Amino acid sequence: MRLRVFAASALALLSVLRAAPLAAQAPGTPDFNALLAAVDRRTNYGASDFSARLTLVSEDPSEGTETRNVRVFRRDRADTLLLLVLKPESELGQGYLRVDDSLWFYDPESRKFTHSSVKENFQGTDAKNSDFGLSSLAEDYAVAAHAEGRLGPHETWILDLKARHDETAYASKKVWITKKDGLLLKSEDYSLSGRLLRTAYYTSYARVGSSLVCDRFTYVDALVPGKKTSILMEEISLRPVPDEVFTKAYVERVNR
Amino acid sequence: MNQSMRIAVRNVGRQKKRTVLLAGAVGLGFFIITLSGSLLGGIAVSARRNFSAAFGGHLYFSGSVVSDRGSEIAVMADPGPLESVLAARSREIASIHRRSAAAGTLIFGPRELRQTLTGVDFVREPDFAGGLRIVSGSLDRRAEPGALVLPADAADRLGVRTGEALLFRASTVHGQRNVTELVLIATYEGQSGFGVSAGYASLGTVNSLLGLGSGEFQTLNVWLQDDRTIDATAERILADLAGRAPLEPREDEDPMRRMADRLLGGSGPRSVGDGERWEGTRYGLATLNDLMAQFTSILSIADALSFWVFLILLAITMVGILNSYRMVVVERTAEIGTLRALGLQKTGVRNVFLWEALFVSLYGALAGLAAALAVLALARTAVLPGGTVLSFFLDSGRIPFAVNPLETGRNLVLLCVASLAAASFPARAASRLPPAAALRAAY
Amino acid sequence: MAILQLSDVHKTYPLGKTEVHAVRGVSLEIRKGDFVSIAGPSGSGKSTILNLIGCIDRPSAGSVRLGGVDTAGLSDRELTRLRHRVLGFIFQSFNLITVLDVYENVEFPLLLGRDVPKPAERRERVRRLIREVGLEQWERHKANELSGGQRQRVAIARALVTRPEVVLADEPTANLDSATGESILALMQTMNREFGTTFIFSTHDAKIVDLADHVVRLKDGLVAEEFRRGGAA
Repeated sequence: MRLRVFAASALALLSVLRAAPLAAQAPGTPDFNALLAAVDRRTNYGASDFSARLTLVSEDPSEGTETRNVRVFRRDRADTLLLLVLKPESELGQGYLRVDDSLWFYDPESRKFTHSSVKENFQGTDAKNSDFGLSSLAEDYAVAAHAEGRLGPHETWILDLKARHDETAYASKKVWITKKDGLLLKSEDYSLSGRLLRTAYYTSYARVGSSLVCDRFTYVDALVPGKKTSILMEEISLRPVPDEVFTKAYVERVNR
Repeated sequence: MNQSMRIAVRNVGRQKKRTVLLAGAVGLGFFIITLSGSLLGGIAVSARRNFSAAFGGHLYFSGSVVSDRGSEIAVMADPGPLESVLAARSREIASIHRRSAAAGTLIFGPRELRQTLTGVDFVREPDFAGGLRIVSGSLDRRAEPGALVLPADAADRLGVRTGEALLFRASTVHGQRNVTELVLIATYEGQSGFGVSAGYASLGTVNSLLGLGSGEFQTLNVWLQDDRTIDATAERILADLAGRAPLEPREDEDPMRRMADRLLGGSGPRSVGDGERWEGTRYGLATLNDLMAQFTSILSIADALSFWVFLILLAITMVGILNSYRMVVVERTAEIGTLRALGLQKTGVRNVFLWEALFVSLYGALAGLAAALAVLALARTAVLPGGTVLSFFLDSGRIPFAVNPLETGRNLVLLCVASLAAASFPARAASRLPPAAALRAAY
Repeated sequence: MAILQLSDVHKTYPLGKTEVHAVRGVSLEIRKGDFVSIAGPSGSGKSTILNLIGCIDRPSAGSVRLGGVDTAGLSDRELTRLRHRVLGFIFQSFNLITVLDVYENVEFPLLLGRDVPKPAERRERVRRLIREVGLEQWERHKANELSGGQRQRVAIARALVTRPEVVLADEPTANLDSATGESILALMQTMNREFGTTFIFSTHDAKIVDLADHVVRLKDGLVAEEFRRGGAA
């Protein structure tokens, strides 16, 4: 069952927002670490498996628009993940398999697995491999500052996050979280040098079982003007995925 | 001069058309093998020189440490043990350079380009500027923070000109996203399309991008006095290092992959299993030979193929020699009888034919060799445009060639043996002709 | 003193399934310095006898003694050496080595043996013989630049250069006009007298036979007549 929580479009999210930064945590403000942990919990599926079909539309000013279909399987309790490319034809069968703390990229042409990184961009899009896996905002980031502001029709907390260690994908982030539901609406990701690298807009959430799953999101590249990737998540399921799916043998077999 | 040899020398010029045909076939084979062998040899030498220039040395020592979170971080945190071992071998070493490298994306307006950026300690490497053929701009300001030097074709693809600013996006050694603004100060004749020619910036610039301190570095690149000693020197240095510092096993990984992962930044830090962790800086070594292994094996295959073509041509020529000399024996039967009557022994008659076949082959081989050298010398006068993948295999834009005297000698010996073997059958038949019967043949 | 002895020599050749009996029991004795003509019609066995004397063919039966050596037990190598040491050859078709010039053709046999004369001596011997046969102007000419008579003169010089005891000439004038043939015979006679070399030549020309001092006539592979002029047969 799907439930549209927000009708606001990405354009609406881009609209002017007024933020009132606060110098210190005022009385009545929530525990922001707990808020981040709640965001993580919503995005992760500790008890059940997760599978969905993704449609990624990448717009690049120099290379035009490309559409990809990807099947995603997750088992967050074991921190395992499989992404299998279904379209375009030229990338059919390519896969990313995360097992045992390692991410492997499979190329059906060479029939070889090579080491990859969750911090790498997925198939040249603006999405990173880690965007499809476990969320660990609370573990990786500390809230350095907070503010309140509106994002479209929504009252939000605006949090400046600083990495707790130097192995996060981004050294700092700024996130917009709804006060009402604790949903992540927007994220700005910054480089170590403090430059904005990309902005993520989470424009639609669907209810799956008891969870709310973001099923539409857009990553806008801040360095290359006009470059962005929109992702639509469909056929979302929390039913158990067979164990063998999270194996190299399976990735090889589906390519035969 | 031996009488058989004297007659053989004269006989070579007796049937000019036949001699020209036979020697021509031999010459063609020798031409092909000399041309291909010299070209492949030249390409190997040039590629070796160009690759070592692009990678900045013959031996590339990388360092890595294990972070608190169990990731392998590519930094030579403690170069001490390695530097003291290298100092002890200073006689074999021409120079040592500290380098860092980041693989990332150059962004100029809407255009992006994957590029490796090598950080050079320009203060310690004053000769660096001399190694690049500058196309535009100047290297004078190379040591300034943010100054960038690119292969000309990379700059062309981005549409960036000297003096303009552009962004470089990469990951730190810890895998964190980073971006910095650079200003293009010069372009050089390189082949970024081949994935080897690097962009260059100061060590400090690249280090800050990688999240390293200004005095840190990732690799020690070693130029040896003699590049033929790469493997032996590498083994000796590793043996010296054993026991003093943790060493990365050399044989269990594809060196090209390891090079990409460690030296060029690659795809972020790898997580190290609990049982695999080490204390301090672990040294890894890749050599020019490792990096060129695939290329060298392709060259070897090409070399083997051309050798097989030579052998096939040789076999065809042998059949030609065999048949020609069968006919010659028939034509010269009475003459053979005369020579025998006058006192030439059987072996002498046999040797007339063997010498003759040998001389024909030698003339052909010399002609083939001369033709190949002429073609190569002519080809050498042409200067091909730089900045392409092809120019990586050229010698400053010229088609390289290196005639290997040993190989040429081997081919010549093979040719002589083959010619003698082919001629030996008719030669033996000639020597066994009964003199009286031979004399009865029409002269 | 006999330089050559043939005792009951036979020679048969296979010809398809049959055999040709070319020589049927010839016995001969030739003395040193003889000027011998072996005469007879075609097919009488003249060339076969010369081949047997010249050690380029072996008898089917009987023995050939040359220079006191019985040739029967000799190997091909030894026969070749004997031929080189004792014999000189003149052929009907001259058989010069076409790739060599006059000087080299004459010099050639000198260079084949074990004891090759020193260059100066070699040059002297070759030049003298070329002078003797009247070809000093043609020394550096190839065989195909010479007339038939000139070629045969070269062959005579070549036959004599090793100072053989016996010179065998198979129809030496058959390919020459009569005047040239006579001059060649005269030259052979001169050499025979000058060097004391034994000459054995086959011919079917009665005029030439008349010049010989020892005549052997063959018929059907047998000696039909043998006589010496001015002496008993």
